Amino acid sequence: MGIKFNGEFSVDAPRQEAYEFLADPRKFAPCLPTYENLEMKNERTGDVTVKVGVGKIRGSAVVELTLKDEQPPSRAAYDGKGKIMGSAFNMATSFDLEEAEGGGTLVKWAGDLSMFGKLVALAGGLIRPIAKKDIKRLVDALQAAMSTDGGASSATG
Amino acid sequence: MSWVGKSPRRKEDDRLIRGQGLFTDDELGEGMLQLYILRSPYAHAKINSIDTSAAEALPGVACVLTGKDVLEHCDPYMQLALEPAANIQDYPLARDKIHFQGEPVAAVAAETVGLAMDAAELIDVDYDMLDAVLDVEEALKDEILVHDNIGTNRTWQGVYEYGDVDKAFAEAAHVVKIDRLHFHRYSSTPLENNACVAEWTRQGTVEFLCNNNFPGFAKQLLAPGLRLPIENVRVRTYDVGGAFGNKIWNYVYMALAALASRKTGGRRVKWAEIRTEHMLAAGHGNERTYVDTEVALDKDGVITALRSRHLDDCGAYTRYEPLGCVIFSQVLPATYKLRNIRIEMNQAVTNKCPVVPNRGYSRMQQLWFMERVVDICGQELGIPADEMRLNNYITDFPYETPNGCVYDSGNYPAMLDKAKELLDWDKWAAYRDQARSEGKHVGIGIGTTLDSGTNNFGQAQIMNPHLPFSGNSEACIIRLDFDGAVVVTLGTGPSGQGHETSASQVVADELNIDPSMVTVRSGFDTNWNTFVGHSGSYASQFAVTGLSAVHGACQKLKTEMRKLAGFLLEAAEEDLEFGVGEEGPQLKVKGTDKAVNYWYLSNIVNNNNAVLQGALEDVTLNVRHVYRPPFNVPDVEKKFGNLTLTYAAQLHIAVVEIDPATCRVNTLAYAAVDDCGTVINPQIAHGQVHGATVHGIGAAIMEAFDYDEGGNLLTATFSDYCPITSMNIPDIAYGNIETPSPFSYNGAKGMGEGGGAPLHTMSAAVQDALHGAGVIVTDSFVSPPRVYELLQNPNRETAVSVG
Repeated sequence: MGIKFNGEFSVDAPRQEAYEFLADPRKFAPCLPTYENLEMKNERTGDVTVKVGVGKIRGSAVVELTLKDEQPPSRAAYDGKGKIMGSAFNMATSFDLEEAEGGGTLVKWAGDLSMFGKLVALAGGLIRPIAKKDIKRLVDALQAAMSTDGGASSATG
Repeated sequence: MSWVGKSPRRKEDDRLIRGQGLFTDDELGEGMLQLYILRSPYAHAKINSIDTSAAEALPGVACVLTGKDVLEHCDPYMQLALEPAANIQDYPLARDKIHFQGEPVAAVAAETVGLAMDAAELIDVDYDMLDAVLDVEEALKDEILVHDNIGTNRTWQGVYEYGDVDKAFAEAAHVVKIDRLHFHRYSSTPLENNACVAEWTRQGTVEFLCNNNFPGFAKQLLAPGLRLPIENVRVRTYDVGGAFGNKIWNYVYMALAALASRKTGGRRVKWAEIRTEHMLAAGHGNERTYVDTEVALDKDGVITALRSRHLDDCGAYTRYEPLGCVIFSQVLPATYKLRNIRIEMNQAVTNKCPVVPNRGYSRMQQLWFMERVVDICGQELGIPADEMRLNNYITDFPYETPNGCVYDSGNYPAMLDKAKELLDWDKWAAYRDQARSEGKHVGIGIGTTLDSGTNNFGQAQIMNPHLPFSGNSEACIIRLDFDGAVVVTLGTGPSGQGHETSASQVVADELNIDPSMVTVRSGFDTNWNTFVGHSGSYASQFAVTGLSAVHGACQKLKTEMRKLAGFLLEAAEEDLEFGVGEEGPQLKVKGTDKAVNYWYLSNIVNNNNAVLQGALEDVTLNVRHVYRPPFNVPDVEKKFGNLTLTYAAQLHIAVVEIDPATCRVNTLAYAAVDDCGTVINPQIAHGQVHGATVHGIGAAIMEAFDYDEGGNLLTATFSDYCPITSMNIPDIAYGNIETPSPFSYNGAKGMGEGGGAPLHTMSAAVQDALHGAGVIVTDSFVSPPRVYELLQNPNRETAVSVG
């Protein structure tokens, strides 16, 4: 089961500052919805524990998140993979950063989530709206973290 | 009086209705461990590592198995295929690569199922996902290999060619070309999932209680797989909650319970599959695609020739395959008299669940194809479906098909007449015409099908000439117990078909007693019961193989009883008659009151035998008979020979109306006529027809295994798969005719699989309903979304052409 998302949002922070935030797993990971914990394995890779669940199927998942691409100050991209309750998922997320007109940074993001296994079989139809909601929460959290006004900047996606 | 042809109360029902049946998961025992299988979420992946340490550390976990254990203690299961597919390495657990979603990766034995499941969650498997190949045509390109070591995905290819196809096409009045047809994936989902209890004893033997439905075959594969002599493996069954062929290769997973027992020092280990596991990995019916189909017809719509290319998707492992690539040819021309046929059969592995013989195995795929051909040709040439069939039906029996199969008996026109009468054809035809004039989509479909029973295993040699199989057989032991009770043991291993009842009816008739006086031991047991290599419950054969074995054993027992009673009563054997007297079942001197009962006969042989003369030394009152059908080994080169002994038939008619808002196929009327030759037990035969009909209707309109592009099975629960329930079953008008088989002692034909008649029928009815809308039904699954798709994108222009 594959889900692709993309969109853009703007933040007050200058491009270099926004890039440094997005390219640092220690700063980026806590913005993931239902974040619980991060354990870094090396400078680029960490295990992020998040709470996940659909309906009554609930639990914790460990996502191995790796910074795969860093092109300061214009691009940062992560690959992630994890498992939960007999299921597995792979994700790829990229952020392309541009100077925004009038200051700040325009962040164009893309996400590709692939899920496999029991969770898809049991709750496949529910995953897409939940993923959509969680991505909005991630974008909101990133905006809030990178904006001086607490995330009031515009977002589409 | 004769008990055959009557419906005495089923012997099995008393215990089943009272909840006293013994299904495998009912087996309890102190210290028994529960096994849970960790399965791959991926359809195709490389296994980098498996860390079981956290699972093994969980209190209550007795052992964890991985591919390493399997490699240490097992050999790959024997494959039926020729090389290179013969080199597919099929083990109970994946070793370094995943081939389908749901493939077992590890197994945990623990004190409870819950603990085993929790422990399985703690097993850390590191995978690298690989691109999956999920379509048979893509698989045949070999761009993604399911099994790297065999270098191809193709598992079989063969051409079945008979008559003069080119000449028939050259002389044809019409040629109809059908671009593509597709028979979808589904299964008959037995009520009871796979299960077994295994114990690896101190003596190095393994005892299995299981629900396998071909245990004689399973034992032959399990033993070498576990590196054991065959006699060290005991397989037994008791009550089985349906199989429909689906449990033929559950031996693959049964080995895990045995290995867990071995690893835990001989503790009994139970494995009971849960429904989602069953849907993911217990086996699906064969999925088949038919391309480049061309049909030659004369001016009256008589089909004179057919050529086509068939592509069978057998999923990730071959297991019982590529037998389906031969078994379809048991019904090559279906019920039709065409003599010129060329079918190229291909099969490939894909990253989907392996296929397993499913009710109507491989024949119904061929029969559905032929019925689609007949209906599409009829629609395109403007010939009504009933007339098209009457123009083409085989009418003279016994009939030898172009590939040497012999249809024993039948009367398809009479079945059509009977079904029309049951349905009230004229009324519904008028309703259809009226409804159409009002813009409604109403259709009437006919499906004629064959239930070929009692396989000639020699057909396996068409698939692989090196296989040591031919003929068929079944065994029965009948004895008089110490108290004179008549006890029958069989190798047939029933899964709900009422073998105990039917066998007792045959014995009752032979001994002129009541069926209640006959005890037929339940289940199957390689230690206790008699069996042969072909023993099991499959391929619609019990009425012929099982009952012929019973009948033969009865003849031997009667010979001994006459001999002994003649001696005791000082009477000529021909003067004795079987019956029931005041002291129970007896032999009596005709016209006198001199008689000896069964207890006395048994006592003389077993306890009081000093009085026996030398001539009676051979009398044991415990006789075994093995029935062997009269088969020859087929001509492997020509793919010619009699592949099946009997051909039961079914003819169904459905009236459907498509709901314009939901595209749901509503069944307005349904008739099913069965011909299984002489009927042994009408109630059981009716039940089999009803069950097969319901399974087929469910498969046609509700049930499909759908995969997404990543190889996820999207219908792995009953919520999504939607098996048919009583709420969805139409009223079925049932009738039967009897054309006794000349090839069985009792005129009976094997039955019960139904040959997928409802699939043919529902496809035909939907076709009839939508033909005016420019729709050709090209898929056996006509669920609402698919009907909607057809109505949105009428396909007649591309699906078919007439020249």
